[in-house]
Amino acid sequence: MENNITSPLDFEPRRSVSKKKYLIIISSSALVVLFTMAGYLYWESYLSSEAEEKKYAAEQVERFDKATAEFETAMKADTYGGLTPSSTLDMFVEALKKNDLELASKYFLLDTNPASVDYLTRKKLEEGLKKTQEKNELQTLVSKVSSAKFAGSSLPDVVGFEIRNKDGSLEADINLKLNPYTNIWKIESF
Amino acid sequence: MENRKLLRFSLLAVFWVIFMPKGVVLAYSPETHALFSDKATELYNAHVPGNKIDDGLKNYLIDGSRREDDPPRWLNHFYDPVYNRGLESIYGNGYKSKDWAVDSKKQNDFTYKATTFLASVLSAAEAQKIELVTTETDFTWGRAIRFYINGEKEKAMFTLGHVLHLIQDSAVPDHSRNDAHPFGSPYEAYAKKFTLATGDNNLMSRLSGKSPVLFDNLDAYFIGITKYSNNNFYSQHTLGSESGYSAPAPDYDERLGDYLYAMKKDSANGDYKLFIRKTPAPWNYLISSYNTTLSLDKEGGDLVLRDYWARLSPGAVEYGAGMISLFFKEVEKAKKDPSFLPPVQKSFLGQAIGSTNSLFASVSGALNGFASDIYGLLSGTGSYTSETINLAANDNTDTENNSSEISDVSPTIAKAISLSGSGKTSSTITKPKPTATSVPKTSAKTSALPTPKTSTASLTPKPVATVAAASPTIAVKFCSFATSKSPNHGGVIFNEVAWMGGQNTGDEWIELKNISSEPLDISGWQVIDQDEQIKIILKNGTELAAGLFYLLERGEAATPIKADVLYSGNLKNDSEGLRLFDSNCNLVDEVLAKPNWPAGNNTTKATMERNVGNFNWYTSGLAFGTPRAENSLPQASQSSSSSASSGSSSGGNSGQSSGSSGGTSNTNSPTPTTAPTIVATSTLTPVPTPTPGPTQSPKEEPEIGVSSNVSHVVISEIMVGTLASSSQEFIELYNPMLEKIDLSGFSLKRKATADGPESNLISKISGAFDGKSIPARGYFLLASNQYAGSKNHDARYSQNSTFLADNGDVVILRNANGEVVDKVEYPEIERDKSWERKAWRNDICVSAQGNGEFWGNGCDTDSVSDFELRDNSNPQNTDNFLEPRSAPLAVQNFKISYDSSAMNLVFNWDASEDSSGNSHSLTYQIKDEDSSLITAIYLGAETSFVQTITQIKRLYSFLITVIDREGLKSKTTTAQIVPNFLKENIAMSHSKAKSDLAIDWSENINFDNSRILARYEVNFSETSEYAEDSWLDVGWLNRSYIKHISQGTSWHIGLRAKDPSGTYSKVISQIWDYPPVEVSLSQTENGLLGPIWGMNGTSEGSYQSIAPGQDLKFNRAIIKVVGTGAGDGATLRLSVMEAGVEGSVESPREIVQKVAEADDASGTFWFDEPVALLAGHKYWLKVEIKTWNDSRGPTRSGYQLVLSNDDAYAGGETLDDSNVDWWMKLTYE
Repeated sequence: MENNITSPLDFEPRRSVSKKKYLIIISSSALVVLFTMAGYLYWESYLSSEAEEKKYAAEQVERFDKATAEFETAMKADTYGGLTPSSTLDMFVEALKKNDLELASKYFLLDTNPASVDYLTRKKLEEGLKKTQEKNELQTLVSKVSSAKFAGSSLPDVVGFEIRNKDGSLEADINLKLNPYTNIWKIESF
Repeated sequence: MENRKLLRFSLLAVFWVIFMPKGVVLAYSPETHALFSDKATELYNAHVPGNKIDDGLKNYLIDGSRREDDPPRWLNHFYDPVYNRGLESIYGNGYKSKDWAVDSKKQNDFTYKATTFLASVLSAAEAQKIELVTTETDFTWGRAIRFYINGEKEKAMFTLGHVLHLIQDSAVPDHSRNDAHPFGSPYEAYAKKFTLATGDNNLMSRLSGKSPVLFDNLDAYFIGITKYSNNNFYSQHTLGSESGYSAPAPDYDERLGDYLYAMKKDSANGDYKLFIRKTPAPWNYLISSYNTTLSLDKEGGDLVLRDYWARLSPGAVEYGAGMISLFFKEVEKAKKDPSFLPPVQKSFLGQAIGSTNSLFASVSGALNGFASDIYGLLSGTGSYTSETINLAANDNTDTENNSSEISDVSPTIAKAISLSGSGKTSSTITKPKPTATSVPKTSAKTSALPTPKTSTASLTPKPVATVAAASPTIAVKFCSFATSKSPNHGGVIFNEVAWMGGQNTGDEWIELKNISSEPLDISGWQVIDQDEQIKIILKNGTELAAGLFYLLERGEAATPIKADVLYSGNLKNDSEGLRLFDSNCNLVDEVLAKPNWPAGNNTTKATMERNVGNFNWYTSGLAFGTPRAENSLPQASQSSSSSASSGSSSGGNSGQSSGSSGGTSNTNSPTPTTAPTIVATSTLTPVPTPTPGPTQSPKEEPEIGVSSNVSHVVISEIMVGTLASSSQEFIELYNPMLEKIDLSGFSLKRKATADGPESNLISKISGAFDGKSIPARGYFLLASNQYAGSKNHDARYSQNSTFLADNGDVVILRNANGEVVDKVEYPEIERDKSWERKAWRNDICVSAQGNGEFWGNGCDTDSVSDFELRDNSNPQNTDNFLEPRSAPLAVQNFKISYDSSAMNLVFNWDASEDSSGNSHSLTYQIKDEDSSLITAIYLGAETSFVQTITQIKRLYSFLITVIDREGLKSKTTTAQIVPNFLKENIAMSHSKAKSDLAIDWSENINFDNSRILARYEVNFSETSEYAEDSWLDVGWLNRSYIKHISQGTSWHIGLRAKDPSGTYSKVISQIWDYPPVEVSLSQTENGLLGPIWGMNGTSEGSYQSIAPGQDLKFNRAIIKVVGTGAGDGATLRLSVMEAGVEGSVESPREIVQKVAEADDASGTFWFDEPVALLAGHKYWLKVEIKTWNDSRGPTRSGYQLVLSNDDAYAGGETLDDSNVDWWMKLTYE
């Protein structure tokens, strides 16, 4: 009986089938790898703790940007006051003389303490001004502020004024601070 | 060359000032950082042998330290050691700087990519060596080490500079006290002038003799410097305890020029100015938040800041130098660490993933997170994050600071290795050498902060047998009692001390208390007395739960309570001290007897107890004290006891003596140096004499006492006029006796000289006194006809009376018989001021002002010293209260609740009464406990008050005082609250269909509507106790959770939140019981009704399937069928069958069949035994009808199916919906 066993090289048609299979296997493998990678990417990007943390970091920076923008907007909008500390005080006094508390209060610096409930408002000083009126002390305030003397400065962009009693003792002092966004001097505190 | 460098720095400084955006959150300016880095390097080079940093490398270090402030990296430059948090503000929450310094993953986030925002100080050639680094984003400790090992020293120094920057920032109080300061801070503004170009000669002199601060791990540097900064200094916006920080409290006040400075004791460097108190003028209602301030806007207004700089700037340099030293130590260790070999090439897959990340990131443009991977691949950083660093763990070759003192020590102390900065656990622990010389430095063993229980698991290295074997020979270094540090009150304090003993003098004991909000690991903590005869080291694994006590007893019989630790050695009754150290020998707390203990009574054996709100000591109201229990209430008269940490020698029982000084003498009288503007709360109570002994009453009545040494009416106050009018005068009479005196027939005379003639002020014949009397211990006001003061007169001068002279007169009061009742010769009195008689107290004349304000005016020794000048006159009349009198009753039931929806604290209390028993005209005053810093938050007559707060998660402690209409204050009552940061509501919805219980909750928000980041944890417990290991983490910001539940179960549902710093909210608890089973089935397929209804007995569609998700049982079924009603004569039959093959209706196995006869119009089927349906099984319900009268057809005989569709039960419950053809409800009752 003749031996029909041939070399694998004799099976040309089979070789082409193997190549096709090979391509299919390669393609399938590539697809699997691709899907695996896509899955990994999805997990890494949205589901992993790292993704959560990145999201958190982005959220905080967004908050920072937002708060900074709000702060700058408020400060830039705060244009009431003079280009010198004295002129701001003069404007303040003039407004008080006209009993225009709304205008007078605009010469106050906004509250810049982010932890304060009055942040970016003048609420505290506005209320103080109203109380001054209720206590009939507006004229006293006008008189006292008018008599305030320049006291100098210890830090950049802040200056002080003093109000002294007849005996020379200190009665009150007024602090003004430059709003660098408008270059306007604001009354910071009494 | 040096000049050129300085010029370059100067130019850059100018550039910075000009171009830096306004209002950014920086700490020191870049050029101040440069100065610190320069000096830190010098200090390091001068003191630490080995690696030196030459000028060339130093420039890189300096430049790196200047450039860490690239926005928005500064968000992560905060670390608050008190609350263990980074920045928490409306400006966002940042990472803790100590974490930021070591965490490559965090730094690699694209968000934080460095920019070239700030120009470099390096030359072009120098900059070229680090070119690739400067635009990257990972400037961590570990990366600096890796660069150094790889020989890239310039990059290493540049990166190390960034870390150095963080240490320097930590010295700024704003950065350690969570003050975002968007508009800058006074301290930073002050410090800005110190640059590398300008230098600071004083800093140089302060650094002379100083050496680097040496720790064995990076965390210790951050914790050490921030604690120093936080505990001893203020930022402008965190002045006062309302900021949430109890420290620093001023030790005393000192007037300097126009201002009063709150001072802090500093034995090492001299006392320093803590802040300035400003006193508002009477007309000034513009009270801003700056009644206390750090600086004055005038020449010389920076004294406080100077003192701050003088202490904080050397600190920044010393810590920086020490950190550089640690860097080189860890470099040496890392060289032996395989994880620090040159970057390993990533696998193909890793690179492919990274590349895909890159592609994906570039395509989407939104996945910033991928940038880190990109950077990681490009720079080789991706493969080494802080978790892989294992640096200080094997620090057992360090022989510095070894102690020759060998003692027993727990293995944990030896093993509790804190990794460098990362806070991560190392998987490698090297066995300590079992010799005395192998003793690791104590500071290397644990974090400087007590380790919260919640994090100990991750910090405790795995037990290694070799370590345990070595432990018996490991030495421990006892801390030395002598220290110049101030106590940090880090969570655990001395709460009560029985220095006087108990039944026997040797029955001494010491009680510690955890005053933090979390359990603390106090392993290795030490209690040492002044003579160091008592040396207690707390054993391994000692953990103290929040709010609990730890009892140290000299002998088992010291108290009836079992001790946690027995110790030997005795506490002396004077000249003694106790100090509590943590395992790093950081001073946590102290109490000193100098020479006397601050409180306690050796006679009554009342112990020395602590007010945890202000750390003051007071004598217990109970003999033998309250071991392992809450302290007795402090008596108001004792509430001003000196702080233990102040080392005041203000009193305490002198030990053996009793009564010589009134037993305990721990009540501080206001000292003469105390400015009148400082309003003490309880110390103004008129009779502050303490009553030693075992009494405990919150309603103490002040002792009235004898009010005078005479028994007649006296002239008590004279005012001769005001600045406006010389005739605005009054004369006040006071009756010191216990019965009222009839003044009828009295007259009032004056004469200009002692020998001159009398003239009438009020003549007898005018009858002005007739029919009038002066109450016992009351007042009577006589006034001129021109007098228009605030108080009504009781009698006026006669028409023709003269007026009192300004420069001295004699005033005489005569009775009806013309006899002299009282006569006063006064000197010249300034207008608006008055001449007032002093009070009589304890057989001597004392001032009737200040504390004596309400003690009457009974001093009469016929001496000019009986009177004193009063700056502000105080006329009193018959309407005034009696003097002396009891203070109003201390407020009872002072309660605070927190309304999380509005972030309000709601105060409620019972109305009090004044000495006359009235509740009207009282004023209630509420202050934060540290009343020396803030004004009252409430002053009014109501018995409730609402205060909006801006911070939650902190302890609020308030004092309430009630004041009668003349200003006499009651004793104070205290209440505390820690507002929960979890809203106290849990919404629950039960889906019976799915056997699910869904719980939802609300997150709390800040006042600016920003979210509070938190992880939520839920706990389903069958009891009210929640096992710690049963808490289930449901993730960040999630606000719902669904639990699958079973019928008949009952749950205590706990919910808690954990903020990023690991702080837990209170647990919100709610009970939920599984409601009676009520499974409802319905069918809404109207359109299928006609052809099938009651006719198709074989169709699958005639059955209703049910597949319970949970085991279910019922014993009652209610079925309604359209058209089937009362009187219809219908008979219904319900069959429950277990499904057949593969859940089909074929060959079902009938479980139970129940028939309800026609007259059961409700269609209710009762089963004798409950029918159990098992989860995971499918059943068929078959409902059949036998007789039926309705318009659809004739009455039928034989059962017909009435269920018309096999829609699987989906949980619909529209039972009474008119659109349904039938419904069925299964219940268990």
